Amino acid sequence: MTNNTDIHEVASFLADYASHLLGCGATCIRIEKNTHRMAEAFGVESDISIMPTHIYVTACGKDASHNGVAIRKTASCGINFNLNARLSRLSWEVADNRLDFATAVKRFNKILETKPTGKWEVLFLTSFANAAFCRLFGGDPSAMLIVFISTLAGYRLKQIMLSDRRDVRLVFLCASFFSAALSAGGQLFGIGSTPEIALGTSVLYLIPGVPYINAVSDIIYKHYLCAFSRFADAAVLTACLTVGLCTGMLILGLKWF
Amino acid sequence: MCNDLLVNIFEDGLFAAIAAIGFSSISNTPRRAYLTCALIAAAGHSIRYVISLPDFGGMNIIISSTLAAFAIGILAVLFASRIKCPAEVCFFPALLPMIPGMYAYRTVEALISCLCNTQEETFRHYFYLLAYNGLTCTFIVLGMVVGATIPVFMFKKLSFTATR
Amino acid sequence: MSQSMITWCVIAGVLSIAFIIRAIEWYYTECHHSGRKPWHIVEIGKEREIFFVPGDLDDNDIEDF
Repeated sequence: MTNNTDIHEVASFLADYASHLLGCGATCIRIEKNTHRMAEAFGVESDISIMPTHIYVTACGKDASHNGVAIRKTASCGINFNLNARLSRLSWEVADNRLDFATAVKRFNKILETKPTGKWEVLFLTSFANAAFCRLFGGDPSAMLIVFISTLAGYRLKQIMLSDRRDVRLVFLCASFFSAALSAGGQLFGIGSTPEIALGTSVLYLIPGVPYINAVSDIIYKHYLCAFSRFADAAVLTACLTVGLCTGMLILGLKWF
Repeated sequence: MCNDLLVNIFEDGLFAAIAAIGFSSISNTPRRAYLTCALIAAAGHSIRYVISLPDFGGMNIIISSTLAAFAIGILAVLFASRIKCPAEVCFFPALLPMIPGMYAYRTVEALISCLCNTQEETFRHYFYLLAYNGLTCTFIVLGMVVGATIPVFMFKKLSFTATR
Repeated sequence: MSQSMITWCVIAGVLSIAFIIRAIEWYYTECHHSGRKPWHIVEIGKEREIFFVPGDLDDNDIEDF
């Protein structure tokens, strides 16, 4: 990296890379390690600051007067472990195979084009998963069926609303309301012997587990600010889904469990 | 009796595995990781099931969750490099089936009952339920996540070179 | 049939009507007017459109900079 433009390009590439890692749900320690690994391979020194909504990267060459700074907004790609794994692999490819900068950028852009898992596949797998969950909590087969149907409807609603780019909190509220209301049918019409377990399990697919787990991991590595923001995000979503659940039960006049 | 137990353990593992595959698909886990996630989840959940049985020590749910999560963490770190995915990818879907959903709901239920009942006696009862369920839920989640993250911390080298 | 059962039927009905409308819309946009903007029978405005003042930056544009 000899001239000024190069160092700016490197900084902005590293910032793009880190912002996508943060967006797809990687922990802070992984973002730091991967970015440093790549910077080292490009022969620059870099430092990174991870804020809840922004990434700030500085890169500086051998000559300290050559330095570049880049700030990026966190990419809004949603939790995506496939992207996370591929981006992490890219950093190792750069470090081990000594890919040059242009190839790395090309690979990076190609990785961003990877398609997410098919929506119907996710829909059905999630519904089966939630039905299995119901069984783990001691529900009988009819409760499992109720949970399957209400998850199917609720998750489809979530997909539709998210593709219409509705606010994610509203999406969680609506999805949990309809899931809970549908599964309350078991209790209203007296289907099976464990309708209350069906009602309790029906909204579990909405629990934002990844941010909760990432928050604890960030605390361990002393990224307290990020940890708190991830936790707050997850807590707001959990509150929304609880409100949806309670509204559903209130409207249907059910006793609390 | 022994057969019954084996069938129960197997069932427990099987449903945990189905749940793990479904929930990993929500977060776009690569398809090659599905089987590993399912196996790890099945192992973790049956470990918790066994050690919390009254015949086998009847361990407290918080401690048994933490131990099971620790096992999940170790398995995830070991298997991560085989499927070329970060360890988080494996252990997150495996942890989900252990999330204490029922305690969380009972907490909310107790909270609302608390607000609806003003008499001291009933209020105290529901407040007790609120604190009991809330604390149990919080500590199960904390124990689980810490238990699963410690192996990543212990085998730092291994877990961050998984995608190499 | 009690009141809550009727409520349940109404909720389930609303949800299924929403899905059916969505399917019809999808059918029309995919099969008939390919290439046009998605077409909606019922549409809820976003809060951006309500609070929009001419000259405001579009959030979506910022990412393209």
